[in-house]
Amino acid sequence: MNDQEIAFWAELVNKGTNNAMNNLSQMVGQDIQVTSFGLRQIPVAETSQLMGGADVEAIGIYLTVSGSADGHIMLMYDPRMAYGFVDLLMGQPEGTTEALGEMESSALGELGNIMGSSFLNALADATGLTLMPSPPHVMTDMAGALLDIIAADILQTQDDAFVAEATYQAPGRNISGMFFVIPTQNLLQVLLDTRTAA
Amino acid sequence: MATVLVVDDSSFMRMRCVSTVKELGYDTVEAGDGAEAIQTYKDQKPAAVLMDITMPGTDGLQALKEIMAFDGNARVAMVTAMGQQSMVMEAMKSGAKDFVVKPFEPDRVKAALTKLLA
Repeated sequence: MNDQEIAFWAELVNKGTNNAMNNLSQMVGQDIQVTSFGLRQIPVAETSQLMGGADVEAIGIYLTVSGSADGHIMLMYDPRMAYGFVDLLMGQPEGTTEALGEMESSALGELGNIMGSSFLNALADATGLTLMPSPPHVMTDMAGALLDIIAADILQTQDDAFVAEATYQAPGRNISGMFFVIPTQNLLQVLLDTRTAA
Repeated sequence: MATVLVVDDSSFMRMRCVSTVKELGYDTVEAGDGAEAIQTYKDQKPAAVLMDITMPGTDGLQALKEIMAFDGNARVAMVTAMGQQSMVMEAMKSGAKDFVVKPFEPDRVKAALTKLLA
């Protein structure tokens, strides 16, 4: 990507992230703050390290993107942080959730659905494209294994991954999470083409 | 008492939505995907439907079209996180009477139901 394309992609990701965080704040009734935000181009093989280590246990909420082009969205949490978000969503005292049952998984899935959809809605509004999320999949595994789901798909068509990542926290509850958007080369190109078409 | 069909693949969201609908004094029936929604509509003829879009298998837009084909007077509102303009237009063209974007305030769902059941 040249500098102008990077700036355009950054602007889109910024809009998407803001929309996702605003709607997460509304959903959990807490002011969610973004503590770090970044764009990176890394070899696909290194995506398994995005959460700080491949062997860290994590809870992931995974959505695929379809419509005008394809991509991947993954929310990742340290399990204790995920339980904290479940407590917020279900209006329970902090520390109530200690494992994921059907209702807890459903609450986390809906959190992923709303954040992923909000991100895509902002991109669609800005570009005129249609970008649809899949139903969310909530999984518990090593962080590397979760991120390998994405790597296995995009490695078929590209060597590098263009990762948009945001870390956020709910200060009132001392809980945080990570939000990754990894477009396929095709999705990135379709998005960038809307800039030249405008 | 009128019955409202609440359709969402998320049991958590169905619980929230059902609670809001019951506060208004309506009975509820539930469906977890589009195919179940179509069958439940045909079996129970609810007075109104609150329907998610993003669901596995038959999605909410397909289910909306099939319900409208079965009953042209069906009163359906979409309740979804997919607030993109193309989605709103397709839902409205297909017969939806309202479009509520998640996350919703309970009052917004109440307003949609009041409109549907007027």
